[in-house]
Amino acid sequence: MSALPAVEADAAAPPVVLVTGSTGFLGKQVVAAALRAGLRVRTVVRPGTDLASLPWRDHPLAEVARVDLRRRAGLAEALEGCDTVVHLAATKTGDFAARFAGTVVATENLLAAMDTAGVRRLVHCSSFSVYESGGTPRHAVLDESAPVERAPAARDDYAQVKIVQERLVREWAAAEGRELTVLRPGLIYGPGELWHSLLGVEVLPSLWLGAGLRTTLPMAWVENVADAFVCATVQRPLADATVNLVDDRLPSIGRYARAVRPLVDGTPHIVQLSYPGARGLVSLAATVNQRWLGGRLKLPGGLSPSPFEARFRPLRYSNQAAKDLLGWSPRYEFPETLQRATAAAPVLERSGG
Amino acid sequence: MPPDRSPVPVGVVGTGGIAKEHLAYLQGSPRTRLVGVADLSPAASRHAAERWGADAWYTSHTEMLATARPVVTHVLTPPNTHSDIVADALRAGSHVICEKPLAATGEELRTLLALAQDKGLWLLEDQNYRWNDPVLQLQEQVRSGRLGQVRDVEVRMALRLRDGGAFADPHLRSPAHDLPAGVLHDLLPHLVYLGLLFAPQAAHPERMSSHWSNHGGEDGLWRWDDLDATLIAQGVHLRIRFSSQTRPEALALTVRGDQGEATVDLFQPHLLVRSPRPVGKELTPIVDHVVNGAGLARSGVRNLVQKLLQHSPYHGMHRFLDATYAALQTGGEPPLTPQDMDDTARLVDLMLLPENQR
Repeated sequence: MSALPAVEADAAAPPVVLVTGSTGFLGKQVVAAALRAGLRVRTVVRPGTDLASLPWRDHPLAEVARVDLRRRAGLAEALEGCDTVVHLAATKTGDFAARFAGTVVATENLLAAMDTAGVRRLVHCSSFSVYESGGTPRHAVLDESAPVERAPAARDDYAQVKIVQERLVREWAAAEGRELTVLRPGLIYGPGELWHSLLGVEVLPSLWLGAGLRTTLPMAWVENVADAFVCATVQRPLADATVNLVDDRLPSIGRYARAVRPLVDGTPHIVQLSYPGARGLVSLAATVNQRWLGGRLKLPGGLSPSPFEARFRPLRYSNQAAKDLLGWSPRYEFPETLQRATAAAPVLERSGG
Repeated sequence: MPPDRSPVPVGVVGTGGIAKEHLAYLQGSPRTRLVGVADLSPAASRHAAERWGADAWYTSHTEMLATARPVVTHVLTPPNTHSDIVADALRAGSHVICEKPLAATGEELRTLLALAQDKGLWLLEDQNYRWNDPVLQLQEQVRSGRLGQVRDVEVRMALRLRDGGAFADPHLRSPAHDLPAGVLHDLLPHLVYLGLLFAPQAAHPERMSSHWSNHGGEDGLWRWDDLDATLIAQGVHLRIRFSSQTRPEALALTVRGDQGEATVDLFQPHLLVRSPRPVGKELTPIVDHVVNGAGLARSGVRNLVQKLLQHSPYHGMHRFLDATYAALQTGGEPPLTPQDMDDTARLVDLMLLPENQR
């Protein structure tokens, strides 16, 4: 278990880090980890947020900036005096336009405000979703050298907006004097977020279709991911570093599902197919769709070829680059994460490891 | 002049939610060529151009109008921006197709229609549901005479607007809240033009009342979330209702005549008819039930297939756009008249007059 890097104790004025998406599932943990590391954290919360609900509301190193990233008003002011931006904000619900506005337009506004405020360092939260589905041979290691999706229109809305978002931050970072670190977490799980879309495709709320039990899951425990963002903020890796974030000793789909099912209410029944069997069905449906239905057939997300490969292709994963470049290693492994998932300790009081 | 069947150069202003439907039509239609898209957000404009195959993207609609020179401009921005952008497009010599409500008031609409007429250009509001399958079915029922003389028309929309989405976002106030009827103003044109389609007499109501309510309560956003309006003219009643409190979500039209009645729903398409049948008065209700039951079962299967084949409630828009571009290419008439749009906007204004509110 590695300790989080801490800001020097005698530092007269610890650097100010602005965290977007700070009230989200990951954001709360990143803010907590950053405060524990001794950073001054300015958290971006939307104007309608109830401040009393924020775990860090009374923390001496925490500040709040009430702005909505979908508008430019007030953003540059919120960034004044900041050293680094940790950009976690993304909209994961609603239609494509809502996701685009809350993810891409929000990022565009943030980058423009950073330029105005003279903030030149960005730690950006990307996703495994940006990788090309089918771009890595089956059973090979998906690492940072894997190609980014070249046909995003065939992917789901989330992947599409994350691809555009990452392109934006890379274009911003191309200018001289800007520092960018891109962290691409695998599937982030944590308390209240244990059952997820890599376990199968929802046909009905109570009935899912599985695509193989032995496939390794790219799981990333939320506290481990939060630590990585703090490492990236404090350690200042080389500019333009891109790292994947997954835990050590990753579980298979079968092992994960067996372990979390007792912890989650109302889990669906999963009709399990093998990966080749499910892939055959998906290919058949795609052929019928193209040949006889003019491509108009719309199947549930994971039953179209590209989203299917993105979710179920059997791959292996590495976190070596994150360990080498960030000095990070995951504090918690799978069995321990499940204990923590049910412990329900307040975010800021959870063990610092 | 002989008909010009070459693709019509088209520009799109605004790439938000509804733009997807317009752009999907424009990308797939041989009648059009997308010469430009414009959005204040460079990322949104660029993404739309790449996704839908536009020749170029812009962050200023005036620059697009001057550079790409579209023959038709689709204005798909928030309603409070329509007037200025529509006027700019007309002054640049472009026909305009605009999302509803084209203008916030009837007066504003008439100013724009006059400008279009002065320039010899078309200005069309997207009254897309007119061309949906269930509406066409209902028109056929009326035309066939099965319902007799139309006496009563009810248009009812139920949408869970306060449960989430852009209108309910407490962090970023939708500009639609600032329309004269608030968010309901954004949807009212649909209800009014559909009502007038079956009860045209109501365009000049002799009596009317409109009950505007806020059943969900004041929260700094919502002025009203419910409307129950009745308009009476020449012995015909038109009732227009909007509810954000009831389920299921629906856009239902009922036409009652002096012989029978028919109901359709546009969101979960089906048709129910109760009309005289050649089996006698006693057996007619029984036959109605059997026939409607079989029809509902068929609708269930058809709706599943149509859902899988992406035949969404926006299919009427594609028909409207296709009819518009076909008319442009052949020198025909537009599928919507200025009177259609004026009547719609005028009735919304009337419903908002204090003397008509209850």
